[in-house]
Amino acid sequence: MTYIGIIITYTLVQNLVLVDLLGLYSYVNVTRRLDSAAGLGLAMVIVMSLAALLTWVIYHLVLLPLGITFLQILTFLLIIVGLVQILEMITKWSSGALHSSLGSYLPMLTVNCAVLGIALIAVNANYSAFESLFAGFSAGIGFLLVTVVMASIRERLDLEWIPKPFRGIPIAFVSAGLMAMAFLGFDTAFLRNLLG
Amino acid sequence: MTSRNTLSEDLMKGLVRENPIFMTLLGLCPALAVSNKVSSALGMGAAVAIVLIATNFLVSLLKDFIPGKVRTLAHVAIIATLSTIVNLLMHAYTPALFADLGLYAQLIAVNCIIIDRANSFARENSAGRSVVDALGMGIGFTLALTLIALLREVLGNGTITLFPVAGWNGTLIIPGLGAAPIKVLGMSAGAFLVFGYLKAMFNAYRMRKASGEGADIKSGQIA
Amino acid sequence: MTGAAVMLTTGEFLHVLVGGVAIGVLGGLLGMLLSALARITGYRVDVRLATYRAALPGYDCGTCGYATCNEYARAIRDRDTPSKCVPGGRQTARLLSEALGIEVKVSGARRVAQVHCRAPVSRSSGSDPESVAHPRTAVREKFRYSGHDDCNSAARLYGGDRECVYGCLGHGSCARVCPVNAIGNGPDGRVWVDRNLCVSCGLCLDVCPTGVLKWVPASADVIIGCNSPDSEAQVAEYCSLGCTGCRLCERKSPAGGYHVEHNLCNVDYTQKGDRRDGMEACPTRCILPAGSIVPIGRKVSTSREESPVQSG
Repeated sequence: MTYIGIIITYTLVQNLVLVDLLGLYSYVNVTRRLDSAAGLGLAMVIVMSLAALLTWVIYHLVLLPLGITFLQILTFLLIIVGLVQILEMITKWSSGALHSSLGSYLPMLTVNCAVLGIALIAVNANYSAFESLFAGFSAGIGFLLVTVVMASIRERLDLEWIPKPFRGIPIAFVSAGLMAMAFLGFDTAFLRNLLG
Repeated sequence: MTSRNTLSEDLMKGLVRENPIFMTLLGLCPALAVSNKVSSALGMGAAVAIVLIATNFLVSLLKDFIPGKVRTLAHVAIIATLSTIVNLLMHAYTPALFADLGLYAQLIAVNCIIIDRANSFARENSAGRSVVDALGMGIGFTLALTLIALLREVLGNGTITLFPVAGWNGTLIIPGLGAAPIKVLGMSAGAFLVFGYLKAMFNAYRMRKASGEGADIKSGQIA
Repeated sequence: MTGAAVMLTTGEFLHVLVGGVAIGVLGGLLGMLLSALARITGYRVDVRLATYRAALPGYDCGTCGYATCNEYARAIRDRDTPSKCVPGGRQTARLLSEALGIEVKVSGARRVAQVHCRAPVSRSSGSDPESVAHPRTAVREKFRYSGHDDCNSAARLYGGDRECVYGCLGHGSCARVCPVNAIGNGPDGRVWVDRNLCVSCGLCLDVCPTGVLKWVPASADVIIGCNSPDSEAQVAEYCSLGCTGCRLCERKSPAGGYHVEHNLCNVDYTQKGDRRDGMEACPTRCILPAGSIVPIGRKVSTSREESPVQSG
């Protein structure tokens, strides 16, 4: 697939949160305020890109040649956990400001479905190394987009008169559902028309 | 902390009081996506329950041998291994179900319920009690997911898909709804909507119970 | 994988071993990499920081001069004065004393926030503001507000839907922002701060658009239930509960510290004279006992419970 195709697919057409329903736990818990949502989204972009690339490396250079692809879940998870730990150390070491904005969200990403999800998707789709990196990056951008929009909606919703059983999580999910319906407009036909 | 419930309370709390999907919202991540068919929901629920029970059992047995620093890593390794085992078994013995679950079968390894239960319960309780807790959570998870799947499939597709047996292909077609379903409920947007409304009904039920016990419900949010 | 064969050939057995060895190697490499990096970057979980942060209450109110409790914890670690957290009170002082090994004292006399307005929160349920506002018992309304349930949003529209623009607008923004749930409704419908719960963080004062929330000493015995500097004639037009500036309180309790300025009574709490005579003499009964009611929970929305919004 072309790179433009990859970007549009994982940002809009197959947005990991709204279409694949991955990463919901952090999506629902961290989007109450715009700044925390933006922090999470940015951390996601970094982690997803690197995770997609590193898992490609492990899959194609270690698992495939040795014929032990059944170990992919275990190895991918080890890579992701290690990656997040390394990022945490680096952000803490390099800049206090970066650490206080991104650092608190990194532990949440160790066992996040979206990060493992994009790794598995990229491997199943047989992307090359650079395409995997791109796919991870686009998935992260898609996640950032959706969390920022959701946080804005939820901040406004806090001021509205909402029936008591709906306050908090339920109305957030209904809003997410409406957003997902809006994103239905981005489908493969759209992709084909855009790219010919 | 060590559980202070009786054994049967540990079993039953996973059904309503601490239902993973509706109360603690833990099991959502890779599970909501397979709730478009009842058979997938049942299959996913069973798989998660098996991995959960095995994980709780192993972690509670090994809890004294795992040093604190590598605790998370050890848990992740155990859960990933057990999840891979269940995946391989499903791939061999229930290939149709495995194909239905697709990507999400492999994502059982990062299902938040399993990690949370291992970390908070199995780490500090005996093996037997941990298994009972896992069983309760697994059943609660399966019931909740099946409820969502029932609504989504009946209203969204007009069918109920169960497992094929003896010549019948396993699909029940609901008369009337089969001709004019609400397609959006079968898609991911429908998962969000159905879950939102079900959670609101759950909240309302809990509020009514809480007000029955004399608590003040006028102060707004429950979840 | 057929599931039928149980015995493995030597080749298959070696293949199984390869999996185990690969994982072992990967794990070992990762472990070594992480340890090396930890050593290089000097990564330590700063236990002191966590202890200081745990001692602070977490309201992020800014009383100490830092934007968040995290920043103040870091400042304490870097040798800043540890006695700046007033909202933390005695609990924080004790915990910080233990953590630092020195005596940390809570500064000064305690002050609490209080609402200087007795207006009931509920609005007229009919669409005609003239019909309800019983001029003898409530505050008149200018129009029917159906926007966001937020005091600042309401205040942007001509100072709010009430005729009195100095008083409490009743949408509960202060109650929502209070970190200890000290603000709620009294039985007469007014918004009130429970002074036993208030921790002096000042978040409610910051969010109130009319300034009707003010600091009073924690030991204050009376609160003036009015914030309006309008003259007697004007106040009588729109509110039967407010201070008209008649000075009866000053005359009846000369040593009580009552002091009318710009048609509004203020209390000088440093004066320790008897205040009860002035309180009883007030014609609109707007001098209120300070601890008179314990607010019921936290009522977030106002008249919406009684009058659902008609969408327009």
